[in-house]
Parts: sequence; structure tokens; C-alpha cells
Amino acid sequence: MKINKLILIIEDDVCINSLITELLLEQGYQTKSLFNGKDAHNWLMQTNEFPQLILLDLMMPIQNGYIFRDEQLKSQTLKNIPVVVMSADGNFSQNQMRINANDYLKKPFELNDFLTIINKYVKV
Amino acid sequence: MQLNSKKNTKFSILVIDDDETSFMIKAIVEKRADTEVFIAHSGSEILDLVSKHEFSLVVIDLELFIMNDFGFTEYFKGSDKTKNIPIIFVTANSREHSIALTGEESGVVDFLHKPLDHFVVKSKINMFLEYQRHKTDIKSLEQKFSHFIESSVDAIVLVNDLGAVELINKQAELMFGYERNEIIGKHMSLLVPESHCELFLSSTDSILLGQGRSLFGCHKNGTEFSIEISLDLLNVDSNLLVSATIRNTSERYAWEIEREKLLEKFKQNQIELERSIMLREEFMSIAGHELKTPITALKLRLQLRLKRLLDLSKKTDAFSADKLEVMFDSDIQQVNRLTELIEKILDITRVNSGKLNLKMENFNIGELVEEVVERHAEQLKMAGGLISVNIQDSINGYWDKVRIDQVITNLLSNAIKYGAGKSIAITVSRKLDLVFVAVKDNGLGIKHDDLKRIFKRFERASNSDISGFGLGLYIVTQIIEAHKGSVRVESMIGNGSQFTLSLPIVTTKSLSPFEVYIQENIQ
Repeated sequence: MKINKLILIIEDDVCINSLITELLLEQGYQTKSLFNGKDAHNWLMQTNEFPQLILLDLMMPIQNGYIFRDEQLKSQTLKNIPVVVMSADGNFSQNQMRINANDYLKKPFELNDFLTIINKYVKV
Repeated sequence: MQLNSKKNTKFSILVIDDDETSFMIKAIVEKRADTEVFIAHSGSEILDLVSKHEFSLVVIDLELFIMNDFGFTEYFKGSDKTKNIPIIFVTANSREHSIALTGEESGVVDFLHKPLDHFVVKSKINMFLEYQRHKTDIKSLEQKFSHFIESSVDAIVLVNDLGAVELINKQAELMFGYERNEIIGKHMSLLVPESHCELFLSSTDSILLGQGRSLFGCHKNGTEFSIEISLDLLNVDSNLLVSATIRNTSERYAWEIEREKLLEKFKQNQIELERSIMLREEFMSIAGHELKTPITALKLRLQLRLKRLLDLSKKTDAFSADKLEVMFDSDIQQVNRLTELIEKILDITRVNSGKLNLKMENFNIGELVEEVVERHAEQLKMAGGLISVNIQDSINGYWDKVRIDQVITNLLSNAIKYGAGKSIAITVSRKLDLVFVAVKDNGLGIKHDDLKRIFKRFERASNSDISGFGLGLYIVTQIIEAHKGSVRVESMIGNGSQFTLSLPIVTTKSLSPFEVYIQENIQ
């Protein structure tokens, strides 16, 4: 049986998005890259393959991370997918409360911390 | 006010007479401790006594003819000191003749007829002395009252039940600019305009009027001033008077208004200050976020590279020459991005402090637009939208090329950022001596409420979460205004936005004062 190791990356910065993709692929995960909350939500609504984890940036055009998270929690099918927030936002503790994510990575983050957290939710 | 003058009143009676009358009068007043009788037999004695004493009553025996018969009245009524002294004439003439005597003067005059009757003389003398006592009492009371009113630091006006001024003190004269003889008897509305006058008359208890600037006084010269009036009812001889103690509050209110204004200004400044601090904090937070993004990418890249280096045994070709080149290229790109961001932060500082020095040079604005579009080819391709550039007129002019480049770049980047991948159109056209550069996208559009706000510092449209400092349009406006041009925006939600620059076409280079000096003097 094929084990699902799909991770959804929602990050508007093209460089960061592609670097994370590169890194995760190297580690043996599968990835899906999207650049704003709206596209991510639309994709999730029509995909057959749910991700095991969502990496979510906060400040994004069109639909930000907060709204995406709110939408996700409203959906019965999506609400249980763990979310790790990655943000360079200064108000760390405030935003952590607001977004109610499973984990929070402060940008710029340490590679090892990143991998440890990913591994918590999706085992390779 | 308590008045007790009874004990102190001393009466003096002057009797100008033969011995018969003076004898009887002396006998009558002998028992009164408060009365003294002086007797004069000649004109010089009268003058002497009158100069030394205050008489309460003069009794004149007309038969003496010291002065001619009616000269007495004229003498006594002619001087302030004596004009109010009642005079009793003692006469042997008929009553008819006596009545005729009273016709010409206004003072109190009475008659005693010879032969003198002791009882009649006594009752008449007592009656006049009693009358004088009352007069003295009233005079003393009036003096005290008048002193009391005059010495007040407040303006006082007494008004009768018809609203007419009965009395006004010095302070009130000064306050309203009237002499008392000009105002006594006039209606109070002259001093305090009609609309407020009834308040005086209907008041039945002590009240304070005019608090909160509701009352105005009218000066003789026509100026109005706010007043406060304290009203008291005075019952004088069963006449109801209103005593109005008036204070000019205009200075106090002027000061209060000034204070309120200052307070309001202070509050406004406070709000602006707080807002500016908030904006600055927000800017710092956005700046932090913006700077951290390329650093995150750079750090991730470096750590990834280090990890690969350590895992070299697995992947031998990870650090081949061409891969290293790509790596360094992308590192440099991140560093450039950081530099650009820092440059932007510094730029806003320069624009803010008014150090925007324009370096005018002659160039073709259409060509500059094409250059900028060319530079954004890569970004445009990534965004997926088409761009059309329509240069309707070829226009040359003197502008700051670097700054105008910055403006067009900003508008184009915005169009790409907010254009939602749809087509963008840039038009360059001319109308009279103005050049128009219009950048139109078909993206998100801007809410009506946001249209003005977006040109301010650190502001962005509320329906976007697009990263950036929110400084772009602010800087654009500053640059265009420094060129004496203007920026206009038209937008509809869902239908995209169009930003239009209009710049005056300057065909000759404007000279600095130094250059003018050189041209005029050194050639």
C-alpha cells in the first residue's frame, strides 16, 4: 500500500516556496506548491489526495493565512489536517493565539527545527 | 441692613422772632433732650447761625421784617445747605393771605397764626421734627445703601417691576458705558437685550443667570459681552425691585474658549501622534517582515547547501561548477533584494525630510516607459498577463529621469501585483502642455474608501494582503508633485484600477539660482 507523504506548501514567496519544495522532495516527501490561501482552498476542495500536513505562510496576497485557516476549520473534511505556520511576522505570540495552528515556525527558521517539526506530522 | 439713627439725631430749631414766639417754642422743646433752640433777631445773626449749625426747622415771625417778607424763603431755598429745611411762618395775617404765600416755592412751608396757641405750636413743631427724623433716617439709609452699592466690585443695577433701571453703580456705568443719568428710568433691555429681560422680572427668588454664556450685555458702543447675573429681590417701601449683580464673563469665556481650542488641538495632535506612532510601528513590522523574507530564503538555501555538503557521499554532483554558479547567482539575487528593500526604506526617509532634489534632464518619456516594461518582462511572464504599450505621442521634456523611472516602475509593479494575472495597458499621450501616462490593470480594483488612503504613507488597500511597505504610491505622489504634476486613480472593485500621471512638459531646463547667476554675469 502506498503511504501518503503529501505536504501542501502555501507560501507566496517563490524562492522560499521552491526551496522548501526542493528540500522536502529530497527528504522523500511529496509536495504541492500554492501561492495564496484561495488557490490552496480551491485545490483542496477538488483534490482526491489530501495532504498529511499544510505549511502555511501568513502574509499572502488575495487570501492570507488567517483567512485560509478560518475556512479550513469550517470545513468538516479539511479541519483535521495539521497546519504548521511559517511567518516572519513580529507578533509571534499574538498570532499564534489567533491562527490556532498545530505548530509555529518563525522565519528565518533553522533547517533542523523545520525537519523535526515536519517529521512530527509526516513520517518518511 | 439695620439702621438705628434715632438716638443720634439732634435737632436744632432756628427761631427768627420777637420774644413771644421764641419763648413759647423754648418752653415747648425744653423737655426734649434732643432739641436745641437758637434765636436770631437780625439778618447777620441768621447768617452766622446758619453757617454754624444744621437746622431741622426754621420758625420765622413775619412781623419782624428783617428781610423783606418773602426774602426768607428765597434765602433758605437758594442754598443747598438750607433748601430742605422746613419753614414755619408765624403771621398775624388772614389765612387767605398765608395760602397765597405758599404758591411760589416747593419746599415745606407751614403757618402759625397769632395769637399763638400753645397746643397748636407744640403739635406742629413735634410733627416737623418727626418728619425731619424720618428724612434723616432715610438719608442715612440711602447713604449707607449707596455706599454699599458703590463700593461693590461688581456692577449692580436695580430694576423696578416694570423693568426700568432705578439705580446703577459706578461699576455698572463702566461695564455698560453709560452715565447713570443716561440710563436711570430706561428699560433694562438696553443693557441686557430684550430676549433675556423677562427673566429678571419673572424671577421670584435669588437666581444666577447667564451660566454657560447664555446671557449677553450690550455696551453703549454696541459691543456685546457675555455676562452672569445674580438676581435678588429687594422689597423697598413695598416696591418690588430686582437687584442685578452683573459680572462680565467674556474674558473668562474667551479664555475658556481659547483653552477649549487648545485642548481640542492638543487632542488632535495626540491622535495624529498616536496614529503616526502606530503607522511607524506598522511600518517597522512590515519592514521586518519584508526584510526577513529574503533572509529566510537565503538562510534556507545556505543550510540546504550545507546539508548537501555533509551528505556529499550520497550525491556527488551537487556541487558541480554549473550548479555552484546557479547557487551564487541566486544568493546574489537575494542580497540584491535585501539591498533594494533597504534602499526603499532610506528613500522614504529622504522623501519625508524633503530632500528630494530633482536632477532634470531631457529624455523621451515614451521610450522610458518601454524601457521599464522591458525590464519587467520576466515578472510579466510569471504573472501570466499580457501587456500593451500604446505610445500615442512622442514626447520629450525635462524631468528627473531616475525618479520618473521609479514612478513608472512602481505603477507597473502594482499593476502586476494587483492585476490578478490579467492584461495590463500602458498609454502615453499628450494634451496641450501636459503628458499623461496611464497604467491600467484588470485586477482586484480598489475600494472607494481606500482610494485616497492609498496615497498616504504606509497605507495599502484594505482588500489586499500583498506584501510591501505601503510606501510606493506615497513616494510616487511626492515625486510627481515635486514635478508640479498630479496622480489620479480610477478604480472599480473587480474591474481593476487605472493610475494616471499628468506631468507638465518642460521644454527648457529650469536653471538653479547659481546657474542663472553664471549665465547673467559670466559670459
